[in-house]
Amino acid sequence: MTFLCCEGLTFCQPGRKRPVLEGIDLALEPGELVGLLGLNGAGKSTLLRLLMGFVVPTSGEVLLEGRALREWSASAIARRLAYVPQSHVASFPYTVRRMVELGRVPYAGLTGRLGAEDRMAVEAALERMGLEALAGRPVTELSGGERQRVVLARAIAQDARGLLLDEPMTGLDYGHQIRLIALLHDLAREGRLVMLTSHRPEELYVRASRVLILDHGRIEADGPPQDVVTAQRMSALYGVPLRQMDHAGNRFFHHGRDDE
Amino acid sequence: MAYARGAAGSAVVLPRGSAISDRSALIRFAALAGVVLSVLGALCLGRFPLSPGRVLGVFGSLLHLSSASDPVAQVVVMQARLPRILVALLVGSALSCGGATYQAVFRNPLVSPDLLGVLSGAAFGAALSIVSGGSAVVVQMGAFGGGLLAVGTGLLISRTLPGGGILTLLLGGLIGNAIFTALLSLVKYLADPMDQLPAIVNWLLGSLAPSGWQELAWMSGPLIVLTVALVLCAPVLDVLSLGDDEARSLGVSVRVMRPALIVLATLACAMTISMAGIIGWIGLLVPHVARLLVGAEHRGMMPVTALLGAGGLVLADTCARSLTTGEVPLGIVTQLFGALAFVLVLRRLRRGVQ
Repeated sequence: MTFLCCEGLTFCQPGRKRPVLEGIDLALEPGELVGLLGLNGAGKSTLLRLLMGFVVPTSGEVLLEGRALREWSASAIARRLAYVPQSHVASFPYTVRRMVELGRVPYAGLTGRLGAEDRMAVEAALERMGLEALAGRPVTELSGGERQRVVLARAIAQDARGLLLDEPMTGLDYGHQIRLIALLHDLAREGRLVMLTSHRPEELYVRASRVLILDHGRIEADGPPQDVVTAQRMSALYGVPLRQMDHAGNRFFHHGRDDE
Repeated sequence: MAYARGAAGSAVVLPRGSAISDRSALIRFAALAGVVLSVLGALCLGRFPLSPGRVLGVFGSLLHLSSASDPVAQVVVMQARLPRILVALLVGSALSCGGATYQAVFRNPLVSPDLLGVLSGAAFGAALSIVSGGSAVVVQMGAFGGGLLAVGTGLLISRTLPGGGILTLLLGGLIGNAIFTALLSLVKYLADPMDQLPAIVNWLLGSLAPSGWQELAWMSGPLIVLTVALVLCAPVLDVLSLGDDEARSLGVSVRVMRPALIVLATLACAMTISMAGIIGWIGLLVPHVARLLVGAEHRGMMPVTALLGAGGLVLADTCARSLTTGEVPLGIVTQLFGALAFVLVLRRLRRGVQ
């Protein structure tokens, strides 16, 4: 049984003729680190939101563990799928620890007190994201990158088998970007499904086990990074002439003029 | 500092967290003591000042603890002050908890409970009742119904707008607010300028002067239930204030919880308005003070909000009836002190902003 899959997923924005997504078929399994590439506005975020059940597809269906997503209760989904949004707006000065504790809501309930197991999960998530020192600070006083790590820690505390992240690199400094992709790699190796949207094909080449290209509302390519993250495809996708250079398991792209 | 690998399985020392909860328990106790003191003070102060001993004597003789009788003090305490103070306690805590709920649900700490038009609707309902010559009870019913009608109108309008979410709610509320403000102006324009118009203006200023045991009897039950419900729902607010997608990803159904909490808070506010007219700033200011004292987590701050709102409105009402020989409408007092106090709160809040 596939962990998370969709069949013929189509989504139309009301009042628009062209669908945002059209006939998407995907089967996603734990252990995969799936990178989703595509231009701005290609529908990457919409695809994640459909897979999470935030929006209802115009046609087609999302299946979680073989059952249609709409048959699941919201908290049952939350125990299986965690989500990291593109931007987190902190309106109230909750402490970092409280924000991470909210990841245990699907288990402890909204009004329930956290048990020992919940608190262990919270501490482990704080430690894993290197946030112990910030645990007592209000999130409103953190930088954008630190806040992003808090939201990630919350998703880790949620202890779900699937983790969907919408451009998680945004706002992180270079060091944290590298740490983040390594962390996602580890999470996938521990047996989780990790799916992220990204604008960084080079990072996906090294770490992802599978890369998807979303273009004009359709999956244009789906396969191992060696086959998908190529100069030819990247040039076509981004509309800039690119040349590739392989070195020690890495693949780099550089701007290649047509006359070269 | 690197994201430690395999840290999930390592031994983790649980934080004791007792320092924080000790502090918030202390603040809760201090707030409770403050409420008791402000009630005692309010019983003593006024145009006919009583010593604390005489006030306690009244309760002593009521409870048959002493045989001495003090009929004057008894009338002042039992007929004039006590019911009014109890109404102030209920109205203050309900308004503050309603305000905190609105702020969290709309993810905006600068929101007050009249965001969706409950005030303009209630004012319209009350004014209409006054113009049609209704009794005090009819005016109260009119205010309550008008408040709900305005919020209902705003919510309905927001349903017709595409997109959903908070923005459409805000826009719907804005339009509902505008409609009922216009209707209120129309009623004022049509009202008899000799007696009806002053009655409307007076009502709008807000006052606890007409509060007696009778009103307490019918309003205390629902208002206590609503306020307690809002306090119990506090943990939900932490999740709701995150944003729709994030709340849903944590298993919370925003589409159910948000309207439910808006309805609870609106009912509470509409009841306070029908009791006491428009008492501004309490619902906006008190949650901020509570957050400064015990932090933003709603489970901790909501009870403190209720206590501070109760005590604060008792103090404000005591000022309203004892500062001058006449009585200053309570709404003016809360507006003035609330706005000034907000400057101090903002100075603290914005200290961290570069």
